[in-house]
Amino acid sequence: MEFRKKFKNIMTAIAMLLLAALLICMQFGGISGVKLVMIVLSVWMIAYGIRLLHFYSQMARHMVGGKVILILGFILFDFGVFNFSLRNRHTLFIILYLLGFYAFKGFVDVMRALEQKHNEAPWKLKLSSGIVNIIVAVSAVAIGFFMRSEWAVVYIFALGIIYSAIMRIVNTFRKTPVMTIL
Amino acid sequence: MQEDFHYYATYCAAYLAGYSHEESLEVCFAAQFVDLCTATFLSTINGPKGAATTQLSLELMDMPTNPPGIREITSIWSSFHFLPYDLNVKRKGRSKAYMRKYRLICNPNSVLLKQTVDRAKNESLQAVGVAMHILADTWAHRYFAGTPSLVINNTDSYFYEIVKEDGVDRDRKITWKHSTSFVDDIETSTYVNSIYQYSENSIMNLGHGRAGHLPDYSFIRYKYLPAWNEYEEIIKDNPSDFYHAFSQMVYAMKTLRNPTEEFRVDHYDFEALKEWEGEIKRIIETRRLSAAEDWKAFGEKLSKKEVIPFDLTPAREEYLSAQEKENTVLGRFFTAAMEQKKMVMRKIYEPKAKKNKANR
Repeated sequence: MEFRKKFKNIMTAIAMLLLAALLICMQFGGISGVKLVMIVLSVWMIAYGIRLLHFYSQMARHMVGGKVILILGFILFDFGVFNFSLRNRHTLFIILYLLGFYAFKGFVDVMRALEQKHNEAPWKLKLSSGIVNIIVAVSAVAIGFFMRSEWAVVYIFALGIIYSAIMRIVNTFRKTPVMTIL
Repeated sequence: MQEDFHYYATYCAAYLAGYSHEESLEVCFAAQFVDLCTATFLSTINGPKGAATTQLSLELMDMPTNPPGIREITSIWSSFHFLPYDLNVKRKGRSKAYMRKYRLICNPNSVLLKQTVDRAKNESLQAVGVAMHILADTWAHRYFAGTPSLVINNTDSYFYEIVKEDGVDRDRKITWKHSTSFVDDIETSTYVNSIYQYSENSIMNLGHGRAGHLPDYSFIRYKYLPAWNEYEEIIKDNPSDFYHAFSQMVYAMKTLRNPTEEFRVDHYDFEALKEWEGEIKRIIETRRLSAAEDWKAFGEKLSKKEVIPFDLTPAREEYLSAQEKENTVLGRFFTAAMEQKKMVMRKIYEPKAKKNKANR
């Protein structure tokens, strides 16, 4: 992996760790940090969606299968705007929504890992990360439901973010077989 | 293309074009060395950095994919392995960003190919070898570009090998694997290719990675949808393309040996191959991953001398011990490589106004 990408990955991981720390600290201080997560997530989705739509209009619309980029761009943009509109809702509602998003991401990771296994590409790390994401989401919902406590849900969600950040760092320094055929 | 064609078949073509056994060995050595001359190798012999003609996977992984990085990658892959066909091509309704990539699609018989072969005239045998590598690759690597690009080099799941069953052509769906340890299985049409990456400039989208090694196998015929061809399928007939490449190499090297003859695109020396046509086509069409043994045997039959396997050690030692390095085999190769790269890069990146002035 080139230095710039490694740097970007590490910076993203640090930002994720800070976000998790902020969530926990704010919860201690009696303020809900979840709204902040929602805003960050929304802005990221809107910006990424716009980037994909721009790429589609300039390049991918002439490409076989380029519509996938268009659809992905629209979905991300749409979700971003939708997320942003939810920021003033009740905190628990937002957390449940975020956990749903988290579980879905885990499910996609598991599916992709299985596909990669079928194609004999590296798959174990992706599978474990997907399973952990699902476990975090399900356990947070369960604990929140039975304990009727917002802080437990926030902490589990923060732990999930910390786990994702650590996995990102591990992935950055992991030696992976490079598939370039020339 | 692989060693079987770049080394052994190039030896055969050089010999058929009139070079002696020793000269043919020098030509094919240079042709094969194009696939091995990396920045890492150059650093071990303190060679000129600008002479790299290929990149290792690890070198590519360390390359930034910002504009200078892309330029560096393009300077190597477009100059030596994916020579662009038409740098002035125009397509209606396409953005400039798209056309910057589209114009780099490789195809045989380009103006740049003529300039490449012309440049080798009256130059060293190493320059001839470099030109022959580039010429041969224009046939194998056609329809792909020597720059990272999803919108040009991507392929989709519509990918079929055309195999003969009971004398009839049948389509067999290709199964792709992304494992570095997997060896292509021609019996079941299961091949290795690079992973889909939706980032335009990912190095996974450089060259023919998405089509695996299929463009390099002389026996194979397949059909697929290239990303750039507006859902029109392409049927790639490698046996025909490789035969054309071989006869064009013979023709090109004959013109290089003849001071009064000029190389012209779309010309082939089928006449010189008439006697050997059946044997050459059998070597090309036999289903296996490498045809090196058969090409070697054919070369030895032609020259009645042993075609020694490719060995870099003597050339490397000669270079390291020489006082005047530019007069060594590797020194002459480096000069030829740097001249070629300079020429292609000038054509790709020089501003339009300058280009028009030069054409006038």
